[in-house]
Amino acid sequence: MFGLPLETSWMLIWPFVNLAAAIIVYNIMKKQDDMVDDREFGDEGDLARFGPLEEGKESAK
Amino acid sequence: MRVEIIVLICYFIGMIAMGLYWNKKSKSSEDYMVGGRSMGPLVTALTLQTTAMSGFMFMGGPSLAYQFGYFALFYAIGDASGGLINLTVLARRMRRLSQLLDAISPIEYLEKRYQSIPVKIIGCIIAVFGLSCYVLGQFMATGKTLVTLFGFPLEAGLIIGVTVILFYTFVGGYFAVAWTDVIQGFIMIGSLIVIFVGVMFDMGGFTGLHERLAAIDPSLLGFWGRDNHYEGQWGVIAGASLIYMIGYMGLPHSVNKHMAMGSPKKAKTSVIYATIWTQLFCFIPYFLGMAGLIYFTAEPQNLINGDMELVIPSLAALKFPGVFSGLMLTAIMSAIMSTVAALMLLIATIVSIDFYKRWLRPDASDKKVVFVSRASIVCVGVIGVIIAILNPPGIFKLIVDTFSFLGAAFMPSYICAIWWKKANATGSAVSMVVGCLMAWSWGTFNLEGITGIHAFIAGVVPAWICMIIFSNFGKPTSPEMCDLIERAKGKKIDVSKQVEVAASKQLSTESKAITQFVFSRKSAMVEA
Repeated sequence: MFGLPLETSWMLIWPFVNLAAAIIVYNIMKKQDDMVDDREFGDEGDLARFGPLEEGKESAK
Repeated sequence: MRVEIIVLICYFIGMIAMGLYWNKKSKSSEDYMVGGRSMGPLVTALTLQTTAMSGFMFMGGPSLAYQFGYFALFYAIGDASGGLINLTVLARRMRRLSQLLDAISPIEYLEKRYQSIPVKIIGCIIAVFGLSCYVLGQFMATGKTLVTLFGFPLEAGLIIGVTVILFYTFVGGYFAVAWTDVIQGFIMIGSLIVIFVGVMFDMGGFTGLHERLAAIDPSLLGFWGRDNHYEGQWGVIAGASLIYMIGYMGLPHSVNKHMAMGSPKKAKTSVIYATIWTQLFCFIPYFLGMAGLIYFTAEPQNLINGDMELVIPSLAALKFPGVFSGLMLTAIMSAIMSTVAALMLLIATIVSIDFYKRWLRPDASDKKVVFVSRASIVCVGVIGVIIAILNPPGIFKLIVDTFSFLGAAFMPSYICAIWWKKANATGSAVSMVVGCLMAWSWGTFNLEGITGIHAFIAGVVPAWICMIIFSNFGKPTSPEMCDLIERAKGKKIDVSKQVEVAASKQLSTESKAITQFVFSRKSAMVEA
């Protein structure tokens, strides 16, 4: 690729591999974050409209 | 006065102004040391990455590519993935657990997680020693940059440069450090991209670059480096890639960025920002190093002082003299200063929280803690400048191994703190000691050359083995701590609330459809 031998030409696609990995990771983290209540840790998100955080509430698994 | 110096002075004034601005925002020790845990995703991403990328990226990295060609990209490959892996593995859980433990410093975090004073003592000694060596290395890079590129006398240059860093760190704390990192991040990446585009246009793209490198020596494009220098040394290649790919998870000044995030949910956006920035920033300096080899093989007189580490400033002076060259040199200072500021703030945090408040004055007020932190910043700065000016022999060798030393010592402890409940104080303490001793001795006795194994690998592998084995001994992790680690995974939303959110979204779509239907019927009736 671009005059590089095969043994090193893979290095030129590594940035795209990382970008693809970042997009995949983002989507996985988003799905996980949607299942988690982080109001205790400074997140406001959609759940803010359910009112203040209730102490002692059991979470379902 | 040279244009470059004018640009540099404007940059220094800007940094000082930011320090003054953020001074008003820092009201507590939590504000001063972790930005009140309020950093957004862009700031988190850029402060994480610019802290990680020091002067090495502008000087050491390109000189490696200048010497060995494509082999140097193994470091870039690791570096480019490091931010992504660091944020994915550590960020969210560490943010939650650090708040649950009420930890401000990354060493305090380890002490509270492993519920162990020996872990704290060992961690403090390794961290302060390692971080101080790192700071010293950056001061020496500052001196070299100011002397060779700006023509400043060493003492004056060091004192001016360090004073600027001291000022905005001292006055503004974490807010100033993080936001100056954002500006420095843009300066660093912007200047690199401009010079890269100019150089590659000259070369005729990647094909032209590779053809010209092959004309000098075909082995420059090969796997093992120029003259197949590293042939068969898989241990060195593994170390070159892994040291930055996973090593950042062992650096206290890197992991404390997770503790400062506004909320755990900001981590995913930081992953995107950090990855984009690093793909650009990590590879370009190495390509510029190789391009510099082409230019300065033909015209060696244009390489400043004949020093390979100055290949990027030489390219900037050649291609874009004047203001842009000044901006490029400022970018180098940015890379150094962003790292130094973070290191100094962290050393100050450790001294004030982990020594002063923990042992000397447990009832110290927040104001006193911030005062001690500020005093520590000044002390580190002054001592560092004196040593950098004296430049005792052998100091540089010590500094080069610091990354391996810190990464090998702390990585197992930070990862296992949130991913393995069974990891206990015994495992952590032994892994820290073994990791740092192995990495340090590997570098000190030049064992890399003999064994073909990188110092980082030599340290981190035994450290992990010790963590796994020795966690079976000593006091097990308490049930209370296991609960906190469980909470750090994130509290699942109640099923009823999940259903409510989903249902309300469905209902709103349906109610919209009904409204439209009714409205259209009404309109039809009115027309009729």
